[in-house]
Amino acid sequence: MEEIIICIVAGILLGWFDILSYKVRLWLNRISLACLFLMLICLGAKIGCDGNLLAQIETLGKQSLILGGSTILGTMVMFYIIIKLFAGNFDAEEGKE
Amino acid sequence: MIYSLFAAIIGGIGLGYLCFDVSDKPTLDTVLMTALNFMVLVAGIEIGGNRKLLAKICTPKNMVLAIALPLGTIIGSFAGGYLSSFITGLSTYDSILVVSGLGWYSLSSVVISTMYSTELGAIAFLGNMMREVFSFILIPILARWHKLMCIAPGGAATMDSLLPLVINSAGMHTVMFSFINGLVLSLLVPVFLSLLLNG
Repeated sequence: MEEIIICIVAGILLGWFDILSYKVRLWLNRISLACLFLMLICLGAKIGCDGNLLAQIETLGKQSLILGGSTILGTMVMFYIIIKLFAGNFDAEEGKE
Repeated sequence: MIYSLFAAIIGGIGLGYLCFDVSDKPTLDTVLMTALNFMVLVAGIEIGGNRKLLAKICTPKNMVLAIALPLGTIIGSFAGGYLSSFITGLSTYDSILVVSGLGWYSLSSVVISTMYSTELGAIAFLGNMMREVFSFILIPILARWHKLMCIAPGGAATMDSLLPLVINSAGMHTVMFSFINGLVLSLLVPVFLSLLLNG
C-alpha cells in the first residue's frame, strides 16, 4: 500500500512542477490505459483460474449491484442535506454568471 | 469504454479458466500491482498538473462547498455500505472495505484482491464499476433537479471519466466542484484502503 501512496505523491510532484512535456504526458496516458486493460485481464484471470470463485459469480453480481446502488443513494441523501444547507440558490447564481 | 472494460474482464476470466490455475495467482498479483503503480503515478501527474483549476475555487463560499461535497460522498457511501451489509450477507467490514473504493474500481479491486481476498476484489470491481455505469444514466437526470446533485453518484470518477458528462449536463461552474470532489476522493481512497487493510 505504501508503494501506491509513494507513486501518487511522486506523480503529483511531477505534475505540479510541470517537468514532463505534453507529448510525454500523452504517451504516459496511453500506456496507462493499456495498463488498465492489462489489470482487468489479470483480475479476470484471477477469478477464472479459481473454480470456487467462478461458482459464486451470480451471488457476487447481486451483492455488487446492491453495494453500488446503496452507495449512490447514501451519497444523494448527503448531497440533498448539503445543498439545503450551503447551496440552495446555486443554480440561480450560476445563471447570473 | 464501459463495454471495453467489461470485455477485458470477461476475456480475462476466459483466459484464467483455460490457461491458468490457482498456483499462478502470485504471478498475476505481481503484474497487477506493477500496472497499478504505473497508473497511479500517471493519475498523480494529472492531479498535480491541474493546479490552475484548483486556484479558481479559493473563495470562502466555494471552499465550504468544496470540502462539504467530498465529505458528503464519504459519509453517504460508508452509510450506504453499512446498511447494505444487512441485505448482502457480507460482514460490515467487507462492505465498508468495498465502498471505500468510492468508485475507483481499478485501484480498489486490485488492492483488495491482492491484499485481502480475490472474491471481495471481484465485488469491489463490479460494485464500483456499477456506480460509474449508474452515474452515466443518473447525471443528466439529476442535473435537471439541481446542478450540484449530479456530482453525487460518481464518486472519484467525477474528476475524469464522468467530467465530460457533467460539463454537458450542468455547465462549467459545476465542473469545478465535480473536479475537486473527484480529486479529494481520489487522494483519500489509498488512505482509506491502507487504514482498513492495515488497521
